[in-house]
Amino acid sequence: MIRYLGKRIIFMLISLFLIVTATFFIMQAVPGGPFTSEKNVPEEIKKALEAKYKLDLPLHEQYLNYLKGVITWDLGPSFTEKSSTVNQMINRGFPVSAHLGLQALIIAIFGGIILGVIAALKHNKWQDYTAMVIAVLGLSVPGFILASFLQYFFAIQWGLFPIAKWEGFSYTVLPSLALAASPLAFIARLTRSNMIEVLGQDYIKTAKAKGLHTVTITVKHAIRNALLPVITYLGPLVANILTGAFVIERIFGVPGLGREFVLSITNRDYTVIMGTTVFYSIILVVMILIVDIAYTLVDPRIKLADAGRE
Amino acid sequence: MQLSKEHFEPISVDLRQSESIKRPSLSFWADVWRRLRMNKVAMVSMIFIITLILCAIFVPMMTNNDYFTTNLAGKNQKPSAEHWFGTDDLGRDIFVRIWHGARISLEVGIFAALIDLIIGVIWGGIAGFYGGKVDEVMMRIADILFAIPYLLVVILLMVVLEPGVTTIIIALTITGWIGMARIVRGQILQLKSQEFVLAARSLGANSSRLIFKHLIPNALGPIIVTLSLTVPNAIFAESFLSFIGLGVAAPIASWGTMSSEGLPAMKYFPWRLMFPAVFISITILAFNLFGDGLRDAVDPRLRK
Repeated sequence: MIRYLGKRIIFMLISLFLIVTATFFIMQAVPGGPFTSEKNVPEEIKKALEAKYKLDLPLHEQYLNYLKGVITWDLGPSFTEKSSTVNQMINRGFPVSAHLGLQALIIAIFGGIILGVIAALKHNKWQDYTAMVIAVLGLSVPGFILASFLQYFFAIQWGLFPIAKWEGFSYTVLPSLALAASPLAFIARLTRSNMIEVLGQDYIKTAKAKGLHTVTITVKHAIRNALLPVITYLGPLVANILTGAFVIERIFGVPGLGREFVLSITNRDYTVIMGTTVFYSIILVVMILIVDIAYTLVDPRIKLADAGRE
Repeated sequence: MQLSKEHFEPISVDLRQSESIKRPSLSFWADVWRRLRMNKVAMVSMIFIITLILCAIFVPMMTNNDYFTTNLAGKNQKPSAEHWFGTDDLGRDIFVRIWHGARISLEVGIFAALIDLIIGVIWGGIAGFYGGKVDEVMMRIADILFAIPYLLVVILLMVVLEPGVTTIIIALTITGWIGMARIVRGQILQLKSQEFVLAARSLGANSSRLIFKHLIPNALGPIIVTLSLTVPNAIFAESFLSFIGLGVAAPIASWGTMSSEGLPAMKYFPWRLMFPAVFISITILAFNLFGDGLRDAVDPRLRK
């Protein structure tokens, strides 16, 4: 267990190191510095600015400084929003994104499991077909399209929910739904196929023969086993929701980190792009590790040493 | 009724006759096609995809309107006989722009899938075939790359490189091949211990012949299924990137940029968002359904 964990953490650190290095050098490769757009800056002022932000140092020193900054969690200043640092922007934006993401996560997990279980229990009946049509639609309609349609019908046409901004619970409904749609669909499909497989197993027959109630069989015996593969999907699910939030936050005007990230891309604000990328990567890589460990803890049939391989 | 001996006639049992094959023997792909043809949803999707490809090729050639000429006098027009899908805020014909967008989406989808295929098959094939240390090292590299969130890599590259279709394809394939490599490796690992590989080896086949003539053709089913499901993902990624302003540059029409431009005007000119949105969704839907059908046809055991 400990050996496996150590190995996983080492690989995680290598991945993170690669991401930090790659983002740094990719951003260095961009033609023009952060001050090229300022009009008619005298050479001396430009020099002074570059000295202030330590851009006059040789490349390898800048790189070491950046690595040091990442380790001590100091991601540097923002070049377009002169008053704030990247850390401040993350501290400001992330709670909002996390709130939105968690809400979407809950909708996706519960909605998906319920839909999948219903579809499996009513296999090849209309409930199954309806659930699967919803699932396929959810997987095929991109989040930003769904978001626009939700906005058009629920906010503009029917006026049920506010169209944008972030000022209370009713503001969170539409973005959470838009964000949850595709993971919900994926979980529904996964749950359904696992449930169908589990329901055909011998121990379900045994449970029926014992005279257990259908509800007991479903809840106690079937769902618990069918949900195991769903847990493996939780890592990619978090990634899906975090990256999905980039557009959803933009469409609904939610002041979260995702919108900040997209804005920084449009503004070519390199320290913010680098900082948020590193931040997102850390969250995702750690989440995937936690999910893998949780999976092995939940399912005693899996030995940790084998879980690393396929 | 009286039964007499004349009513009965012994059937001669011709042993050779009974062993003859009555139906034509089906090759693997003929069998796949037979199963696929029975799946109505997959067939409708396939017909839609073929129509889409043909329209994307021919419609822009045949209309009088082009996708970039602006006409400020006729901006934001409703769908009409002249402009079937209306016009956008610069008076450009949306119908023509949709089919130009289809070209871009299909280009990105098909080329990204092909490049993924080439890299993935070579990487996964070598890793699976040689096993041991080679496999360990190659798959670790893949694992580490895979841990990097895919959209973040794509976004970073798009920030740095010139916007355009080629860049999108490069950005999508830089980590996109890993899924394919894993599938191929798994298949090869399974296949290489089978007898026909031993037979080929004892007949003197060298490694590259074994990989490319014997192992990969036998793994083609899962490879093609993965390929068909890569296409909608690439199309989705392209429209996503274009939507957040990192895709193709103006005035080129892409479904993502068209939706992005249509979004603020949704309240008054909903058709500007509606048409690209519907086309993205239906195209991805068709590719997904076709891929699902293909998976069931290639390996009926997977049907769930």
